[in-house]
Amino acid sequence: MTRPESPYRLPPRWTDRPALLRKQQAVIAEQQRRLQELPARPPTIGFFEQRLISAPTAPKRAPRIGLLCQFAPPELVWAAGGEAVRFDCGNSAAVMAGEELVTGDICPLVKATLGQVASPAALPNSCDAWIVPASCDAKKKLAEWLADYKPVFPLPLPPTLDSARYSTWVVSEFERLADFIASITHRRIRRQALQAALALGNQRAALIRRLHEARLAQPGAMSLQDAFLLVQSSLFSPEPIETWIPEAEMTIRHAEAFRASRHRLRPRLVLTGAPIVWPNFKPIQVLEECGADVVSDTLCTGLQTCADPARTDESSMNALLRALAARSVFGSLCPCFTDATNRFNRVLDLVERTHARGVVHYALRLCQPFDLETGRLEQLLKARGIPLLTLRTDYSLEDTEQLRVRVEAFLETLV
Amino acid sequence: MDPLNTLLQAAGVWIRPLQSLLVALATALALQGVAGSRSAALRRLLPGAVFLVAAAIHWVAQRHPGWSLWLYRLEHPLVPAFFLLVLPALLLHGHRLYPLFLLWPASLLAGLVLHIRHQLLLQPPGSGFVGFPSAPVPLALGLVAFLVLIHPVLPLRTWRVSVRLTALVLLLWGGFLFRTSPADFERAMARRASPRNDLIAFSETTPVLYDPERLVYLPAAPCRFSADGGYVQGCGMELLQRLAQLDTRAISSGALSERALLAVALGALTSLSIALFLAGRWWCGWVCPLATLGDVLDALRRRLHLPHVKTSPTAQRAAFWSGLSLGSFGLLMAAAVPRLDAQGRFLGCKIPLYPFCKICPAQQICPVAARGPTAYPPLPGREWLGGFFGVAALALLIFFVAAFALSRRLFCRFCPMGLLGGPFNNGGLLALRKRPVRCNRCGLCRDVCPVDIPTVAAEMKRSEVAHWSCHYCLKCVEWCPQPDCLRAEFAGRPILRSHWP
Repeated sequence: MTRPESPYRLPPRWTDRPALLRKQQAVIAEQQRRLQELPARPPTIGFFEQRLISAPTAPKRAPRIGLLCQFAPPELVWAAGGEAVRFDCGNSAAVMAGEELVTGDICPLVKATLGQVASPAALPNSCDAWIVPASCDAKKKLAEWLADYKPVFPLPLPPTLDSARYSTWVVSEFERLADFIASITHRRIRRQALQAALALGNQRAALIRRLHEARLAQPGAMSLQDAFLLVQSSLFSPEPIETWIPEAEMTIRHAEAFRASRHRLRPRLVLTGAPIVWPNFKPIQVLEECGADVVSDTLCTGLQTCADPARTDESSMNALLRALAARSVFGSLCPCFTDATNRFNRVLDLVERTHARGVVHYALRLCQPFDLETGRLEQLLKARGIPLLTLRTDYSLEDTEQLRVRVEAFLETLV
Repeated sequence: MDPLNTLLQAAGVWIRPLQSLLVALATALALQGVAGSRSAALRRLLPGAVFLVAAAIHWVAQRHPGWSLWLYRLEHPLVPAFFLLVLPALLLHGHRLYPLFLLWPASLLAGLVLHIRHQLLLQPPGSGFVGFPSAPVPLALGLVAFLVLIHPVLPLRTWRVSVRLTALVLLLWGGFLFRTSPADFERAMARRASPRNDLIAFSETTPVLYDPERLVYLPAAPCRFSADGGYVQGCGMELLQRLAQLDTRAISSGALSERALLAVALGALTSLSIALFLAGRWWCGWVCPLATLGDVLDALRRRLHLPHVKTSPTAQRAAFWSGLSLGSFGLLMAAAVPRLDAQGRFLGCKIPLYPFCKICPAQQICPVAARGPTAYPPLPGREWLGGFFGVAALALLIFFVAAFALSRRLFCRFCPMGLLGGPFNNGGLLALRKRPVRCNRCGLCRDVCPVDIPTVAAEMKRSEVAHWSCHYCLKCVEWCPQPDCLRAEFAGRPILRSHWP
């Protein structure tokens, strides 16, 4: 496949300052230590923790392709015989590394990701190519930055979530993406391989749904942090998903068997807003430590991610790509589209289904699409008498105590 | 021993209200009326009470000579299956005692087997009949009991295929396979042996249920040209043509024979409307033998993993309007039939008795499917309305084959037989509902819809989403991955909810 060569390709810039790398390791170690303090962890959770932590050093068995968002379907990479790994980063120390390259008011997720990309030893650099969905402004621009380093496929997205109008166009983009992936892995994507890959993805989706249901029935079965760890270890590690599925099934069965010894009085909350990416679990940590049960979330890195299957009653290549487009693009809750219907719908529905007492909106500082939706979400929930707390914060741990005070005050109003 | 028939005969006149579409309508309306009611007693008892009252009225009225004939015209041999099996299965489905209920269809099915065995033993040696002799009511009961029994163990898509194949067998080969008696079979054979003198003339084929006082029609396209008419008289378009070709002058001048024809046709129209009100275009999705035959091409395409052509709104509109206009034109021509002169001409043009049937693809496909390629009717020549019938029949046949082979069920947007059901899709007893708050607009329901209906996916405010062209194949409900986002309701009660896995 030929890609238009940019006339302004610049030499890549690297930031491999040992102090920053050590700090990134320290952030991960600190997060690991905090997770160990959680009560009632499933006995098999170590597998998922190890899978996430060892992701940068995982042995490479096949061409590896990095994905930046849930819009990029890993199934296409699997079908081409490649390894797929998400490389968006939540490490606060990587933000500092990124700030050496990009200045200005850019969201910490993009800065951290760029910081990782510029560190030769980090996970993104083990990839042979990257797929960068052009969702928000920051990610649109990030694609150009990243193209200085490795082959990048900027995946265009429709402005509006209207599958009737844009489905054919998205499928044609997915066809181009499939060609790009095949040019990296040197293996054409065949129908049977894609069907098998979809089936694998659907197995993961079914497991994540089961976990969600188990936590709804018994929020004490598993902390949301462990649930996030479980889900994200399937996304942010290049290890094959086939090894994740049996372990996850065992862990979820353990959670399903959990019975609380007494009635749980903690207020139930629904979490919505910006992605919470390993190793930054700060907002959930604060919420859970303050005594709330976050029973459900709408986050694109949480229990709503990959929870939908890619299925169709047809078996042509076109139909399979259409099913992928329906799942990864049109069913999205991302705020980068012209209307927030999907996310608002999901929030209202989850509040009703989970009998939640309130909603917490995590507005990642400098993430404009989420920020712009905050006011309307407040108004919408207020009209329905649902309490809302907006947490506007970034990846740094410095404001943890302020957040704790606000969350405690909010929880008191719910009682 | 023949327990089923003994039971039916012992029930005698008492069972007749169970055959009445009017009683079925009253019961279903009562069900719908109290579906959302808070009082559990009302929900459980009122529909039963309404049934008893309606049955009592029916029973008393059938003793009145003036009404008796009309009540008889509004009866339908399929209705006992609705009352005794379909309705209880719909109401009890999901209940913990449902497995216990399945003993009932199992015993009915066993009754049908014994009934057929008994009839076979009665058969005189050398009658030549190789099918299954059975009276219509036990046959319908037994087949529906079989479908109710296999429902819990089959995935929805396989069960849908089972229902459609059962309907196909009954409506296409039912006339061969299931005659009421060997004598009935011999009469059918005699009709088949007689050479057709005028090929374009309407050769009367008589279905098993043929009765000069009561004609049984089904919505969708159960073509009367399939082998000996199968189990019903035909489709709604045939009935409308029958009505259109009545001589209005003879009726107003009080000709008894023409008035009797009108009464029979009006009775059939009423029962057809009730059947449509009960299920809308569900008949197209689950019963229509023409669509089942067309779907063989669709299955072939799927087997070859070929993509289908997604129809544009323009193509959909074009199919709908051309179907409506061709159907109306056919009815207009049928209205010219009483004005034909001695040479069978109207304004100098030859017009057949059932003009729409002459161009309908079913008239060419169903006989071939039933009896093999030799049954293909020759195309009408140039003398028939300047060759219009020949050209239109060929064009529609090509459209039928192309539409089913390439674009799933585009043909059904055209089909004038199915168009009759469209108005009953919304407001009838069967409903397709959506909870927009559960929808994430992924568009899967539109992708799996065989008629490419966009409104189910696009509707984000109202809960009623059934479209004019919807067939209630329920694929959207089956494939929607959001829990209880889409659901099908009968008489206000959910019968299928979307869920995954």
